[in-house]
Amino acid sequence: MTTENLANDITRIILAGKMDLAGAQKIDLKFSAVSGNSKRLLVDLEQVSFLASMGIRTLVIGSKAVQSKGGKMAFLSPNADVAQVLTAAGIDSIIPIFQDLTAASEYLTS
Amino acid sequence: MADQLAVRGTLGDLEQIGTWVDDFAHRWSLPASTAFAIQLCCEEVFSNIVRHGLKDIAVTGSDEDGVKLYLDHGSRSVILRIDDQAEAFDPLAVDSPLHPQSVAEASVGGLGIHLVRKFAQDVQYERSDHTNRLTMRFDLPNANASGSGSLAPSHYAKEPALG
Repeated sequence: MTTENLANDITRIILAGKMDLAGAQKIDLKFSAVSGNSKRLLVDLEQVSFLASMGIRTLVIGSKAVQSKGGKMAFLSPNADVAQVLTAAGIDSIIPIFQDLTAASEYLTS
Repeated sequence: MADQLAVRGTLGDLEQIGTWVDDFAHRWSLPASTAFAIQLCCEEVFSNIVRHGLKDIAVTGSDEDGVKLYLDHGSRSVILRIDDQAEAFDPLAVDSPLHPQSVAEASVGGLGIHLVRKFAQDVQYERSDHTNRLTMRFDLPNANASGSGSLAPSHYAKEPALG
């Protein structure tokens, strides 16, 4: 997991690999720390190859932290299978998915 | 002949299960989306069994009551079966969580079996001989149900329109 600061106060978290139980446990603390300090959080999922419910748990807990400060979170570029997991869980309706960085940035700053 | 894997029933077994599914997917050249769905269902079902069904067994350290996994490739679908000997528990009797309307309302648990229902084309629970048996069917692209291999419950053959 790496983070970078983009324009307009957006924090981008880049996740890579499997977000299964083991993968989620590895990033839980760090993800929670970053999301607790960000009001505009972009979670880049392009390099995530697998997502299971424990990974969703990490993402949802992070989004709760962002929202509790009146902030916003969005997903960027999940592969088709990962996007299907988010959709099946109903997460895409509360944390939007974008394939395009510009569109995601506009959402986060609007 | 189905592939079989017997594990003791701890969360640490997930890595071995993942490798086992990868090997099966590679050997049968499964489409990536089918392999993904099988991995997802293995992880969700197995971790539920360990965390809820086998928790007391894990504490006592008994290794008689492990978890057995089977994968079988039929002509049109793959069957995954997971057997455990914890107390009777039908995961299909649990209501799926409602889709959240807001971040505040989103649940951070209970999603596992819901995902299994979405990613497998059919899921069946049976209890017999002190064993919980969950059988999941994954249709291969461009194939209808049936021809599911030797692990499929017998009624699959009678109901080719399933899924």
